[in-house]
Amino acid sequence: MSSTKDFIVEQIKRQIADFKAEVEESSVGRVLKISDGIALVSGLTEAMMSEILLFKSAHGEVAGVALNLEENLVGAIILGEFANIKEGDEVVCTKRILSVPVGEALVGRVVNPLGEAMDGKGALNTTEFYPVEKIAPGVITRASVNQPVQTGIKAIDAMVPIGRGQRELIIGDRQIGKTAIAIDAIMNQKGQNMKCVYVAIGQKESKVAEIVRKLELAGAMEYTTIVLAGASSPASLLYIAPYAGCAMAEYFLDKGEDVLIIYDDLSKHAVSYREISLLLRRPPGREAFPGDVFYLHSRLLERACKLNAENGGGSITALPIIETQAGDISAYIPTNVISITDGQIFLEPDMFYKGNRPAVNAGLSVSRVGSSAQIKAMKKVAGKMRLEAAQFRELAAFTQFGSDLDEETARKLERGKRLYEVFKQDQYQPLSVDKQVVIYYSLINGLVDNIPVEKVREFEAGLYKYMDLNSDVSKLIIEKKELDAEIEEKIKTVVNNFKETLDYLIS
Amino acid sequence: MKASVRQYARSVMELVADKSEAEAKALIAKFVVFLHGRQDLNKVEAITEELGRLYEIENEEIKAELISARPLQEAAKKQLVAYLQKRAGVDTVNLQESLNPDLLGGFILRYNGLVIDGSLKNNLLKFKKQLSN
Repeated sequence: MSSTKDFIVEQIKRQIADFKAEVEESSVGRVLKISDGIALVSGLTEAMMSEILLFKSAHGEVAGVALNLEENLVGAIILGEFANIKEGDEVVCTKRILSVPVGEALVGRVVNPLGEAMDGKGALNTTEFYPVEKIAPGVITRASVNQPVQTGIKAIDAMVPIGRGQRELIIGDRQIGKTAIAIDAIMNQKGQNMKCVYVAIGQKESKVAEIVRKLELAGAMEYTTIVLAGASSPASLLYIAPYAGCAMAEYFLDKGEDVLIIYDDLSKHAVSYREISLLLRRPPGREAFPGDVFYLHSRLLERACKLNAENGGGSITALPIIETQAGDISAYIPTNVISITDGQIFLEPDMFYKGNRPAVNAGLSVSRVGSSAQIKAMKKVAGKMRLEAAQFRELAAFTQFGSDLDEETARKLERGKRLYEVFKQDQYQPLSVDKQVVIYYSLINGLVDNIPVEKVREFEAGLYKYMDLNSDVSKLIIEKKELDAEIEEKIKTVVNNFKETLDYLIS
Repeated sequence: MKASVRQYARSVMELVADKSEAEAKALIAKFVVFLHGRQDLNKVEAITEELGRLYEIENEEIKAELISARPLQEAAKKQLVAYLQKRAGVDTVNLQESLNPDLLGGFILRYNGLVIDGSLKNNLLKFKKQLSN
């Protein structure tokens, strides 16, 4: 007992001996005005842009960020509880630019935009910090996109392929499956050497809890970080959330790893920035957004990149999400983000309600760089398939009223119907690239033509099971990544063999 | 066009420079009427404050507040003043001294939004934080 006591006393003595009393110099100001999470502070002549400020209220310290530096004033947003801060309270500069903890410890966790744990699994043990705002990598350090991100969604991987380092916008009305695409993409990254960051901006916390549960069930939380700024968080946290998420992704980028980051969604981010800007009395422009709302998103999405080999060869692939009102993609924020990204996946309500889910509109969706990242086998089948899809859309509109069709047109229409049937895919059912190649190959080569349209999905599911049991074609496609005569022959054989077991073929 | 507080203060400074006291008084009276005409009389307080600051800059002089637990020795004060002169780049430092036993020991020096805290209380608080970590 006494030895323990001695030990404690010894420890305290050592602590006291180690402590060095020093004179502290700090820049101090006073709160002039505080409202709605925005504070105007006098003094602070040495404050830096986006420096962390400490508000010393009667109930403890609250952090804030300097956003407006004026002649005699500093405008700051408060990150946290601002109800206790009063006029006249002391504000101290910390000489630290806003930064978040980064590192391996964040993988599998749910954190807020300041990097504090939100999942009840205890504090994060991190030692490294990255600044929230960072200039994007320059042109010298970048390489062109050349590796695919397999989302596991047939319609996307074939028609609007995404490459590592690309920025692909997911755009559509509310409740149409935008988040579903993003979550499926995360789930399909298992075993693909990809870290994922999902940034929830202004989402309902119940929805995020459901997402976390689904990811956990699928084993996807092993490589995923969730940054959560819920609907009840102050606008300041919503505003920094995507930048914080990007900083966490940049840690892995610097280690030469590939990261997939999802911003869900940037419309709410723009709205939170509008709130902050109007409260800071910055002049409003179109739709009351401030003048720099374009820069708000361009500087964020520019941080998505593919670095060249000398710089580690890592990548950040960004999938921003934008919610439109009644399918209006010509509103302010949607046009801005469309022009920033390298393409968009447009989800259409009409298709969604007709049961074509995911409701990817093949006409308005594009990928400007992704095709160079497709594997050769996929490129070969996708090119022809895109043509079939385009021809079908044209003919379907043209022949809506006519009844007499020549044989060629009827054949194209029938195949188109089957193609759109193949595009249908259930949620949380991502499909590996080899199986996608097989089904598209069968389709464009007429192997599916004698399957009734309503049986196509049943046929598809059966075929995948049959393939896994009776053929090594999947393995060959993944190994060789291209379609040679041998593989083509094997696909034909396996599909025909499977068809022989069916009783619903059209004769 | 609206003039800012700083612009008003600067013009007053320039107006009264190298003027005798009587002349300056007359000019300032005119300036007040001018302010009234522009409906800017509510800015008078801010203008006088800014004037004080401009005067200090012009004359390389600053006002600083020194708070200590017990009266400081002259040598210590001299050291502090010398430090401030160097830190702010001025010739003269006008010290306003006051006592506050709450500090327990040491001193706090404030000038122009800068606080130099060498008080025993602050050091003890910091030590407490270090211990609890």
